[in-house]
Amino acid sequence: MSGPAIRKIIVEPDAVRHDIAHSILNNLPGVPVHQLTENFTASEITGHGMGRDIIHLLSYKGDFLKPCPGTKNYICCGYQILNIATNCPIECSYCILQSYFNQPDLRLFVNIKEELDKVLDTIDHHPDKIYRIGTGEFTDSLALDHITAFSGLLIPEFAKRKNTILEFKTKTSQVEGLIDSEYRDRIVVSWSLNSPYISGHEEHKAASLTKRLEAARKCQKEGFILGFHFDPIVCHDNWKEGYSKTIELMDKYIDPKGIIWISLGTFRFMPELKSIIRRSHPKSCVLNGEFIVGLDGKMRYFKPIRLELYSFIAEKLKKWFANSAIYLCMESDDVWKNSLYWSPKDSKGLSLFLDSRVRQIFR
Amino acid sequence: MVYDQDIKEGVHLVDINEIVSGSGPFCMSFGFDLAPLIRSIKRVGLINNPLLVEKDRHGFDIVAGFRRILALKSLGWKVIPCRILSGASMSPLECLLLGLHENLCIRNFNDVEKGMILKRLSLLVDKDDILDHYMPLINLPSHEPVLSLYLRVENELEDEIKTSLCVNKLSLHAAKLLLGLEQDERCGIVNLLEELIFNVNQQKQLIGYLEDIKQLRDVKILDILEDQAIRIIRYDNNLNNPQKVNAILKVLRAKIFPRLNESEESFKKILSRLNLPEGVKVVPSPYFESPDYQMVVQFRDGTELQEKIVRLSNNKDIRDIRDPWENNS
Repeated sequence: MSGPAIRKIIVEPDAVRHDIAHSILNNLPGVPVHQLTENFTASEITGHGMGRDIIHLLSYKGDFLKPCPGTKNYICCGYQILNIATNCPIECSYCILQSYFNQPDLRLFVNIKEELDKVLDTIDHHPDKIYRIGTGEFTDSLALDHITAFSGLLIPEFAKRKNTILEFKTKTSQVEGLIDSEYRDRIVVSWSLNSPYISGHEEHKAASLTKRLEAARKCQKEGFILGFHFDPIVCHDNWKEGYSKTIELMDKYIDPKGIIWISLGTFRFMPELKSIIRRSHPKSCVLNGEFIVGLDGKMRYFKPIRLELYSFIAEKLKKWFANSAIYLCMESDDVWKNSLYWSPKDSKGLSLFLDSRVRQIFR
Repeated sequence: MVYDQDIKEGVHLVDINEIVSGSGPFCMSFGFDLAPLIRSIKRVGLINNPLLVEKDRHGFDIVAGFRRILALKSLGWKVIPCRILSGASMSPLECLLLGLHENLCIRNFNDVEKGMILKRLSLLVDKDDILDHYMPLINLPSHEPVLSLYLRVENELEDEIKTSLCVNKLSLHAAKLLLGLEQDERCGIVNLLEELIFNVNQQKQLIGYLEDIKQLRDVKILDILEDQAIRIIRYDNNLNNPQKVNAILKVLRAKIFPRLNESEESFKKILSRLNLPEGVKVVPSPYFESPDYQMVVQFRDGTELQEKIVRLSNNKDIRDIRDPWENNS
């Protein structure tokens, strides 16, 4: 199994008592390990920088299951995040995690096994509520799965709960842990996609689009339900040809009947990310566009540009498969209506739509 | 601590050529106007003698009184009455602190001078000491990013840019933005800021727009500033300073936001055709991001309000108010 090269492991004092920590260490033989003491801080070992080649094992003190923060003034989907790790080795130039600089390294929460019961308890206490849960919000769900084996821990628990789905979202082709599992039910494997130009130019350590879609096909053949996320959609030269090409690739590899949802989200970012991207990725093109301040304070393309992007891609997807369940991420009611020709009206409406999709696909 | 025995007794007449020219290792003066001091010395003479320290081999470094010495030089003095510190008994840090405390009593430091002080301190004391003790002394918060900024200003910016900072033609925030640019780009921008007064926000906008256009069109900032539209504005004698500044920012903004600009112009045309009553305006949300518009009606009394409402109700052209890009699609 390939994955990012790890040059160092930092272990916090309270991490050592967890089996997962030892399992991870065993999966990385020969990598130097720094055991932190109470007085020694990780930054003294990581130094400056994002620490994307450093694994940091710690016990997470917060809630493992949290609603996705979403954003005000736009329609959000009511997703839940299972917080298993933060930071990502893929190094996309547009990644919002770059602005969380006070917590470098690939941080893995090794107390997940012990805390999982609380999460499952919450889910079991609300049997009529649909929980759409994902692990890929603050990290890539599968980039380090060959080291952590988190998928093997989580899938059996979520596969048997009829009021939940667990989504693994990735830009890798690392699906071995999923394939090896005996479970398929209630699991969604999804890929972030982009135009070939953006994928090649801005998603530095991601698998190529072809490799992602080959992995998706493999998962589909194995019986997994798939999801896709065109996010962030970036307006660049020849973007129409680019996104058309990606959809053609999807047609080549994927049976659209096995897709639970496809989300579309144009590039949006907090203003402070701009200088970070300029500094860290001076050749990036993602900032080249008419970005205005949105109603939530995030920079977004000027609305007619977003409408054009969404309309074009949605139409292409609908032509491929008329019953595609397409939804917009963090958009306003009028943008929904003017690009998809319908709107869930508000976040509750979108949640209900996606919940109904879950019921439809996972009977 | 400086003791009396460290200062050689009395005041000594020092040949001006023995005093190291240039600012020296303890100088913390920049961007000053020497004229008032020259006038003062001419009128009442030298009141406080400069303080010098003996150098290892020969000559003297200035510990305090750099401006006084420059003023006296320009007045043609050949010898200067100075107090002398023994070089053998005074460490560089002690000299620096003497000069710092002498200045602290009588004046505030500008941002460039703060950078000079911090740079000199950084060679002599550790960072934690600078953060905890010396930064508050010169009215700076004890934050590492602040220290880093002031050091960069001192180390990286050209003297002409530092001068602009001292005379408030350039804000510290704008100086920080300039640090990310090449030298010729910085100087080109500062030339414009010397010519026209941009307020703090406008400076930030100007530099932001220039950087964005540079990235978007792969052109040099100097070439953008030489754009014909901008040159016409700069040399238009019919425009005053604020008008020129706003016009330049508008030109730059249109290069980055062509569609937004087109929509704004289109919306203005829609409104101008509506013939709205006086005191009535239609306000879109910023950047037309919200789909809602607002109508603001000013009125004196209920009668006037009613008249305006009736006029508006009868105005069929009001139906033309819509998102401006819809007109273009």
